[in-house]
Formats: sequence, structure tokens, C-alpha cells
Amino acid sequence: MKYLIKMEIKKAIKNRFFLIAVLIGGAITVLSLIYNYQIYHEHQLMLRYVRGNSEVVQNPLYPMFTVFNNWIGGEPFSLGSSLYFFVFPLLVALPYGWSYCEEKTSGYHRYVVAKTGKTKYFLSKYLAVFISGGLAMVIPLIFNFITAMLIFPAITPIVVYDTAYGVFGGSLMSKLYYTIPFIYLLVYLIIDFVFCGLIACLAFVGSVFIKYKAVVVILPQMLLLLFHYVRQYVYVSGGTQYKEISPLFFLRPVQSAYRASWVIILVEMLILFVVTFGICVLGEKRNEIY
Amino acid sequence: MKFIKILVFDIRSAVKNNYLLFLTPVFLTLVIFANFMIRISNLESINVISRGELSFGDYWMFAFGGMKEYIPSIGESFIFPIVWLLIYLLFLFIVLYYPYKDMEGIGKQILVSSSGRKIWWASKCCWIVICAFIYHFILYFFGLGLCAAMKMPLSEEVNMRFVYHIYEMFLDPEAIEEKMIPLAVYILPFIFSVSIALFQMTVSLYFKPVFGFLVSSVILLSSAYYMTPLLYGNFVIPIRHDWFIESKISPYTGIFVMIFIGLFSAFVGGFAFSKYDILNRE
Repeated sequence: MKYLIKMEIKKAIKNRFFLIAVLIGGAITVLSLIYNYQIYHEHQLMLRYVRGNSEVVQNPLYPMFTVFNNWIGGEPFSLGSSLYFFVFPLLVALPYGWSYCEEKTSGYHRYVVAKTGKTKYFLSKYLAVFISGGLAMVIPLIFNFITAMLIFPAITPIVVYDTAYGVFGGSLMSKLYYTIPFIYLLVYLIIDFVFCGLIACLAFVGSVFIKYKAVVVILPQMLLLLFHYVRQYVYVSGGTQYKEISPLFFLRPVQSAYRASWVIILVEMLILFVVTFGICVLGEKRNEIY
Repeated sequence: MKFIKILVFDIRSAVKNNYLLFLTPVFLTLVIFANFMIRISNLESINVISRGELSFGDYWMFAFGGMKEYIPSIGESFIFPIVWLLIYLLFLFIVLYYPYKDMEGIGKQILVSSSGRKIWWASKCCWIVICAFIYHFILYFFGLGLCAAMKMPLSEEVNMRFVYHIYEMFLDPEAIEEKMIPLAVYILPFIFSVSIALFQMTVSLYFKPVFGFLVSSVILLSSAYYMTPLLYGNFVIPIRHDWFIESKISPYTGIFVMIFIGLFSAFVGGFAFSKYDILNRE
């Protein structure tokens, strides 16, 4: 079993589609970095000008430009951020979501199942898709954060400037954000890793029913977009304080429209896990593969 | 004659039997229309508008309008126009795989027997045009039928107060006047769908269908983000057009740009396909 898991994970990570997904994700995050750097640079020029014309700068607004609100997960304004949190379902399914589809077509899965049994095969495949999807999501985010740390100061956010951060009093883990922002970031990266791993497993679910790899890889994005549309029916009243239900928004470490909620995140994670694990591992185990 | 035979085959196998092509616009229209009625009820409840003031033009702008110009500012995060995106992305999803699958499957036999790659490629381009026509025909006329069923006037008139509320465009109320949707604007979604699908098919040829779809998604989202004629998705965002607000985005220019991009993609794709290694490619 361990050997099979190791082999599947190796196949998932050491393939060109994983590299392509990470590179595309990384390239998109650079767009966000350029946008945020331009704004920061203009602010620095303005400060220099003001200092040149008066002896005292009353409030240089240093806490407004911290790494925690200038990395891709900390701002919902740039094209890079909007693009990344729009195409990520496709990027996470790209590394290995198509693998069961291909193995069914070629008949490879029969050889493996004959040697190892169905449970071990499907479980290791599920784990490999999960891990590759999670990594494809977080690696570009970590890359962007580390690069942003080269430019922006790591000033702990101050509550007075909350409109500049997008993390408000009632936002998810706001207390953590304004005290230990690195832990806030870590928790969100873990949420993104797990959730996107499960989203990648949606492609595995697609492979059970569909025989075209391209369709299977795009399927998670289409499903999430259709689910995102459901918001039009949920958010109907202007005065109500809703919670965010769409993963396209709540997987961002910053509030885009409505506040994220642990209950919604965990319930959706559970539903995704039950559906994907149930169909891919438990369901396929019962199917005749010969 | 060979071209007609291949086209008839494509229509039989990928249009007649393609249930998604017919069901998706029906489902989409129903869902969008239901949403439209809910929004009208909400606006009625706060006395902004009454149902009797709205017509088919308002429904059309609700479905195809897009979004207003996005200006990044604190408190104003970018919320992409999901309805507008779904209309075009679903079509791109439907037409994504058939040319590729056909090339791998029975299309190889057809290529050999027809001994003309250009004919095969031209047939696929025509197939995309037919699919786009069917898709938008259903979207348009089914929407028209639903408006008629709800006893709404079937006119192209746009109630500006409604559109301003839906798209949160806070313009001077005294400057508001009723507008008529130009006829050219109605055909823009069809031409744009053909153009971007041809572009997607060409990109899919060089790379893989997934990347073709990814590039098309990026173009659509970027067009929603930036209001510029350089991102040609702006030509199918009617609330950014020059007949609606002061802008540089003309629907008539858009028609020429889209036709040019479609023809260019078809030409480049045809050229690439003539050199394509069909047998050894995965």
C-alpha cells in the first residue's frame, strides 16, 4: 500500500502538467505583485514629495502597506488576484485529475488492480489527486507571499486601518489577523490546500462517468461557476448580513463580498469529501472493471 | 461536394445528438429569467420600478449586460459578472472537445478518404458557426417566449432606472432617458461566440483543449476587469457601449474586430492543421 501511494504521488507530482499548473499559477500571481508594487511605489514617491515640502509628515500611513494586504491573497482588487481565484479550479485539476480517465482508456488500471486490489488502487489514486491539487493551489500562493515579503514590510496589521486590509471585525479569524497574521495566513493556506485537494477530486469523480480528459479537467471549474451562480438566488436582500457560500470567494484570505464562515467552509468540505470519496473509492470499488 | 458531406456528418454527429447544445441554453434562460423576476420583485418592494415598465429589452440587458467599468478602490473588490461569463463559457465548454475527438476517432478515416485537411478544418469552423447560431437562437427566442408568457412588452426599449439599479451605475437621474438597443447589439453575442470558439479551437490545436479553454476564460475575465477596446470581450458588454454611456467601445467596431479575429483564427488554425501530425499526437 505504501509503495502504491508513493508511486501514485510521484506520478502526480513529477509530471509536466503539475509543473505547467504551478508555472501558470505563479505567472498569474506575478500580475498581482506588479499591481501592488505600482501602488506602493507611487505612495513612496508621494511621501518623498511631501517630506521635501514640509518638515513633518503627520501620518505616513506605513501600516496601510504591509505584506499581509499586498500579497495575492490579501487583496481582492488586482487582475492577478481576480484571475487566480477564478481559474484555480482548472489549475488544481490539471496535474492529476485526468489520470483515472487515461488509465481507464488504456486499461492500465486493470493491471494495477490485479496486483494490489481495488481498495488500495482507488485510495492511493484519490490521495495522489488530492495532494497534487492542494499543492498546485498553495505553491503559487506561497511563492507570491515570499516574493511580496521582499518588497513590502511585514508590519502587523492595525485595526484602525481595517478598510485597507479587507479583514473587518466580524471577518473570519480577524482576531488572529490583527495579532499573529502569519498564523492567519498558515490557517488559510491549510484551508486552501484541503479544499482545493477536494476540488481536484471532483475531476476524479468526472473520470468515473466521462471518458474525455479535457472535459474532466474543466468540470470542477464549470461546477464551481454554476454553484457560484446560486448566490444570485441566496443574496436577495440588501440589508441582510449574509455569509459567503461560494468557494471562489471564501477561499481568498480576504473578504471579497460577504464574510466567510467556519460552518459553511467545513460543511462544504464535508460534502465534497463524502461525494468524492464515496464515488471514487467506495463506488468504483464495487464496479466491474474487467 | 466532399465539404458538404463532411459538414452533414458533423451536423448529424455533433449537433443533432448533442443534447447539451439544446438543453444548456434552455436551462440557462430559465434560470436567468427566474433571477430576473426575483430582482424585479425586490425592486418593486422598495418602489423603484414596477413590472409594467419593463420589457424584453430589460431582460436582455439583465442577461447580456455584463458589468459596469471596474475602478479598483478600497471597499470595491472585483466581483466578476457571473451571468455574462456563464453564457459564453458554457458555449465554449460545449464546443470544446468535438473537433479534437473527431480528429482522434472517425475523423482520421474521413481525413484519409477526403484527402483534404483544409476541407475537414473548414467543416469544423462551419460546425462552430452552426452551434453558435443554435445556442444563441434558443437563448434569444426562448427568452422572448418567456417575456411574452409573463405579458411583458416585446420591445427593445431599455428602462434606464432598472439597468442603473441592477448594475449599480449611479448616474445623474435627470440625465436618464429611455434608450433602444441597436439591432447590431443583438447579433454581437453570436459573432463573439463564433470568434472566441474559433480562437479556442486554434489554441487547442497548438496546445491542448484545456489550455484553449483556459486562455478563453482569461480573455473573458480580463475583458470584464478592464474597460478597453483592446480586450475584445468588451464589445459584448452592452452597458459599456457608446450608445449607452460615453465610452470608446462601439458595437459596430466590435463586429469588424470579431469577424477579423474569427477569420484570422480560422486561417491560422487551417495552416497549423495542414502541418499537424495527427497520427503520433496523443
